[in-house]
Amino acid sequence: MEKEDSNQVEIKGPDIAADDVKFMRSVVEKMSRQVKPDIHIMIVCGLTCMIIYAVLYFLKTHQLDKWIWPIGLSLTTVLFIYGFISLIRIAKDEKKTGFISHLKRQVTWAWIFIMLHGLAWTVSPILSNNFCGGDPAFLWAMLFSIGLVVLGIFHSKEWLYGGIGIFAVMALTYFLGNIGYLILGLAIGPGLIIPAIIVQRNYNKQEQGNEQS
Amino acid sequence: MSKADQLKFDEIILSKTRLGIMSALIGGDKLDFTYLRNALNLSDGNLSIQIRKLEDAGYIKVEKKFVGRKPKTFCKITRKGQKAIKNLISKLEALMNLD
Repeated sequence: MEKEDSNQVEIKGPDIAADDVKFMRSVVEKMSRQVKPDIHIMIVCGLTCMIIYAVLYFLKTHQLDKWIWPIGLSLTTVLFIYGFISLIRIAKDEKKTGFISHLKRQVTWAWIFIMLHGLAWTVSPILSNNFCGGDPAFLWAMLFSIGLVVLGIFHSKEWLYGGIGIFAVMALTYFLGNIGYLILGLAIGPGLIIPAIIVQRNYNKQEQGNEQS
Repeated sequence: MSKADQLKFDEIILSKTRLGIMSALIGGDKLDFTYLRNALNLSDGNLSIQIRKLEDAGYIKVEKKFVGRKPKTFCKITRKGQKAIKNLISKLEALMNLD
């Protein structure tokens, strides 16, 4: 008798099979509901972006272009350091709670990869005298938009709306000149923050519901 | 494959407890012993035994690590385990479609 056959048992009734499927579904659903959003990174990112774009608008309108790169790079670096430290703390917390979400890890790695593209673009003037390929302000808007759409597809649709909103504003402001930077900052900030708040609220409601049941 | 062969089930994951463990892990998450015990309402002893059976069958991988100074046991489904549970789901659905 083959080893595979030794593990086989006889057929079950359809009712018992339906119970098994229902049981599995309830367990899978319970697990997928418990992914904690950790929205503080998005909120800090949103606020920082609003500041960066407001500063960019100010520097451009006062023809202080030489300060754009140092200030932009400094604020971006601070944001990356904050993001890096936050991710390490989140990973430690996950280990403590005993639930290391596969989905969260996948989406986090996608975001890290997307953000590294932006960082590479931002530091490119170190190697050449100019940003490679164009305005990094719009590149970052595009990257956030893509990142939010990825999050929306795999986690919650609120992120998707944020991503689409940023893309729409980016398309509209491209031709507006310097004021476009201010408007874009005001789109990226809320585009990150508002979905984050809604997702956290939904998670809190779900957790309250789980406690009561 | 005959109808009888199609409807033979893998007894390793057919038990309700092991089915619950596999279902909890099916998303690819790493779950620790305490988390699984609380999520599935099992005793320590029962969960230990079921995890050992699944590990021996190659359906889950068990990792012991220190978190802070506390030892923790994490479980994660293997590819073999994912195949087995998908196979089980197909057979259960086929059975429900039988007259």
